[in-house]
Amino acid sequence: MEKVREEEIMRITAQFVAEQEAGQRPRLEDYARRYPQYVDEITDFVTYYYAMEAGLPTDTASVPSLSAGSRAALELAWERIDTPFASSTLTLATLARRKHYSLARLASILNLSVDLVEQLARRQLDPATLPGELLQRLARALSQSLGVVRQALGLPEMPSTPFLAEERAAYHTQHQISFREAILASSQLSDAQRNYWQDVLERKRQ
Amino acid sequence: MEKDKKQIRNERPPDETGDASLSDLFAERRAVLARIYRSLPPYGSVAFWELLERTQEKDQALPLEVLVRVLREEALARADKQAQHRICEIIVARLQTSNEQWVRQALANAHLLPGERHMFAADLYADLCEQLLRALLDDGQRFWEESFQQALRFARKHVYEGFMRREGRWQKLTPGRGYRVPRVLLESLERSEQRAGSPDEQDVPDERAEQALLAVEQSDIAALLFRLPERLRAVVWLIFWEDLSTKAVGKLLNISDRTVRNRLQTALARLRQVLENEQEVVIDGKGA
Repeated sequence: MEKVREEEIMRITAQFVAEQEAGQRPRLEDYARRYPQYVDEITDFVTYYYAMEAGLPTDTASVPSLSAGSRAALELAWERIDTPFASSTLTLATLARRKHYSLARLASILNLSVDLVEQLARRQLDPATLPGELLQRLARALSQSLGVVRQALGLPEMPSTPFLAEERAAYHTQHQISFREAILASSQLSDAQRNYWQDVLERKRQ
Repeated sequence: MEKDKKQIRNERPPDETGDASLSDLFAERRAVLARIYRSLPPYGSVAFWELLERTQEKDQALPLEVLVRVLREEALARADKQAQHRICEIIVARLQTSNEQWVRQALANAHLLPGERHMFAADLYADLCEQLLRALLDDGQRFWEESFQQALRFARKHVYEGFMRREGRWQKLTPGRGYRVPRVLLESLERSEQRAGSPDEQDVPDERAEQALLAVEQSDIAALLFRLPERLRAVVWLIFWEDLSTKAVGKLLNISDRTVRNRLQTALARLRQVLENEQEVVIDGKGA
C-alpha cells in the first residue's frame, strides 16, 4: 500500500516537473486542489525540486568516459554493496572504514570525542548502556541498519532477542565501563558535548 | 524505434490533468518504452552493446528506463555480474554531468573548512551511487522503468536529506545566495518574533517580511522552506509565492484562517532562526 502511494506521488510530481519544464509554470495551489490527500508530500517535493533540481541538466544522451570522481564513487558504491558482512569481522572500525571515515571524522559526526569513539571501537564500553540515540546516529552515519550497528557493538541484532551467554562473553571484556562513566571520564569531550549526552541519558532514565 | 524515442522525448502533460489522464499518460509511456525494449538487438551481441554504449543524438538515445529493464530482466536474471557492472557504468556515465552538478549544488552553501569540500563531495557522490545501484538492482522498484528522471530526483532527495542529517549540517546550511536575503527580512522576522508574545497583534500580517520574501528568488525561497516542517511549507509557499490570501489557503488546506496565520507566524520565526547564523553575511551584503 505504501509503495502504491509512493508511486502515485512520484507520478503526480513528475507531472509537475513536466509542466515546469514545458514552461507552463505549474501552481502548488492547483495540485493541492487536485490531490488534497498528498499536499504535504507534494509541497515537500516541490520545495526540494526548486532548491536543488530545477536547473540541473536532464540531457543524458551522451556516454562520456567516467571522470575520476565518478569512477571512485561508483567503485566505492559497488564495494559497499558487494561485500557481505561476516559477523566475526563486523566491528565499528570495519564499518567506518567502508565509509572511508577516520575515527576522528566519525566522532565529529556523532558529536562525540575521539577517545570515546576509540573506546566504542575497542568495545571498552558496556553496549547495554549505550543510549538509543547514539545507536541511531551510528546507523545514519555508517549507512547501516540498526541491526548491523547493534551487532558491530556486540548487542543482539534485535533489542528483544535474548543475548546468549557465549555471545556476550565474546564481546565482554574485563574493563568495560558504562557510557555514563565514559562521558564523565573523557578528557576530550567538550562541555557542550558532555551536557548533551548527559541530557540524553537523563531523558532515557525518565 | 526512432519514432518511439522521439515520442518519449516530446511527451508533454495533457491539458486535462485529472487522475485518469495521469494514469493514461504513464500507461502510454510504459507501452512506448516496452516497444523500444522489445526492439533491442539480441542480449550480449556486438550490436546490443554498441547501442547501449554509443553516444546518441538527444532524440535518439536509448531511454534510461529501457537500460534499467535490460539490467534487471537480462543481466540480473542471468546473474551476469560483468554485464550488471557494465550497464550500471553506462547509466552512471550518462548521469555524470547531472550528478556531479547536483553534488556541487548540494554543498555550495554549506559552511565547510578548507579541504573539507572535496572530502564531503566524494562522500556524497558515493552515497548517491550506492543508492542508485541499490535501486537499479532492486526489481521491486518498478518506477525506475517508468520515469527514470523522477525516480532519480526522489533518490537524490533521500540521499541529500540523509547526508545532511548525518553530518549534522541540516541547520547550518546557508540559504542559497545568502546576499539576496535582504536585511529587512531579518528585521521583520525579528519583529515577528517580538510580536509573538502579544496576543492582540498575533494575526497582523508581517508586510515587510512578505515583501522581503517575495524579493528572494524562487530557488532561494525553496532552499529556505525545505528546512521547515512540511505542514508549514505549504502555507508559506502558497501565500508568498502564489499570492493566495490566508482565507484561500485555509480553504484549500481545509484548516481555519487562524491556523493558517499561526502556521505562518511559526514559519517566519523558524526562518528567522535559520537566517540568524547568516546575519553577518547578509548585513555585509556579501555572498557566501
